[in-house]
Amino acid sequence: MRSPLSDFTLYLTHECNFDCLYCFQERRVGFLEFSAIQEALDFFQESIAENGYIGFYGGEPLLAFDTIAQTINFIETHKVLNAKKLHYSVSTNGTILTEEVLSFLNTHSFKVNLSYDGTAQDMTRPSKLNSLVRENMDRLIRSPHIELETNSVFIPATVNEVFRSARLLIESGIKNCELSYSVGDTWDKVHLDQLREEVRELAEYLLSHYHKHSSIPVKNFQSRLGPGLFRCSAGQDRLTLGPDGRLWGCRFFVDLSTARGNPDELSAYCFGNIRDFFREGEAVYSSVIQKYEALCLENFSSKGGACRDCPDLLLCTACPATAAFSTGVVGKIPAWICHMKKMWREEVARFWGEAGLD
Amino acid sequence: MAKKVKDCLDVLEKTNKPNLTPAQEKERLDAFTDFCVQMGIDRLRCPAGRLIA
Repeated sequence: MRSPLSDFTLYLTHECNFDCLYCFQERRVGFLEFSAIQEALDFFQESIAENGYIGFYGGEPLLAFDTIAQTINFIETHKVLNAKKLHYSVSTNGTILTEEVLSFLNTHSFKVNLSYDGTAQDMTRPSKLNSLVRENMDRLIRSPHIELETNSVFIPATVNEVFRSARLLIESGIKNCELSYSVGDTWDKVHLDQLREEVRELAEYLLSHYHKHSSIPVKNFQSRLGPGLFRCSAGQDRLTLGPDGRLWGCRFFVDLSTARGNPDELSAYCFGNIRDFFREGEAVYSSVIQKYEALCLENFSSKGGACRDCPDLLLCTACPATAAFSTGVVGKIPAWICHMKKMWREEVARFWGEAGLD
Repeated sequence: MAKKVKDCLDVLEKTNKPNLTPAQEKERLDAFTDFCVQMGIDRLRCPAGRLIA
């Protein structure tokens, strides 16, 4: 490995009990086998960082709750891994949080990323289970050892719910909510302008919240990146084991491999089946990692040309894999993402200035 | 910091010539990244497990 693995994601399944409008994943049957997880953790025991994260992802990973419980038990009875004091995280839609599951997540101090779209939920994820999700969110908030974060995804049709949703989450007691936008849609100028208005309204609300509570509960506003030259870290300090037992640099490459990605292009980013990797790991890793190491912003492009010729080169961050959900090519950034990022940079900078955080 | 950013971008702009060979383009980028480091502008890495979309 190039550096210690700070995140090893176990992508347990593509299966899900929700059908979100913006979902970019392709549904496939099957689950990652526990035996493959066990062997992989054993193989990477020295590479996994102290205090690193073992992430459970899907689909809906809690459909494989037994595998999660087996994995934690394996880690906590493994001499080397247990000594590393690893953290656990799970991304869930919040529908399968039984007493048993909730108690387990609380006992093992999970970081739970709840995918919940707030006031837009009924539009983006029409389901009879939505009231249950809301109840489960409250139960997660009340669980003392669970570190809860929410992720809300907006589509152009729900852009006018951004402020209301964030306020609902904050007033429900969420300390860290993230606002995301669907990458499978094209955001035109009208919707980007609407989003900016929503973000400004939210910023005003957050300013007042910050003065009262000295906290910023919306993750998008919590930090302001200084200038830098962005690089994707996939494969270097993180890996993802997919449901079919193939190893990738990051979970977004698993999604791409099943959805919009070009199979020929993507195969170059795959480290192969985990069991083959045990035998030929060093040679395979040295070869494939070169593809990931080239995923630096100066090598990306957008409609306007090469990112290296963009005046925002040292201010921008862009995930090369998620951009490909829109363009079909890794590292090719759609123009609307450039506009979206610029808007966020400007509004976060304005907020930090007004809050006196600069 | 704004001046440092501008100085770094100037390095890229001044070396941007038509029809550079891949080797020349690599040299251009290496010079740019070295200059960025000298100016204290390092690599930004994607935080693990989190989408920077």
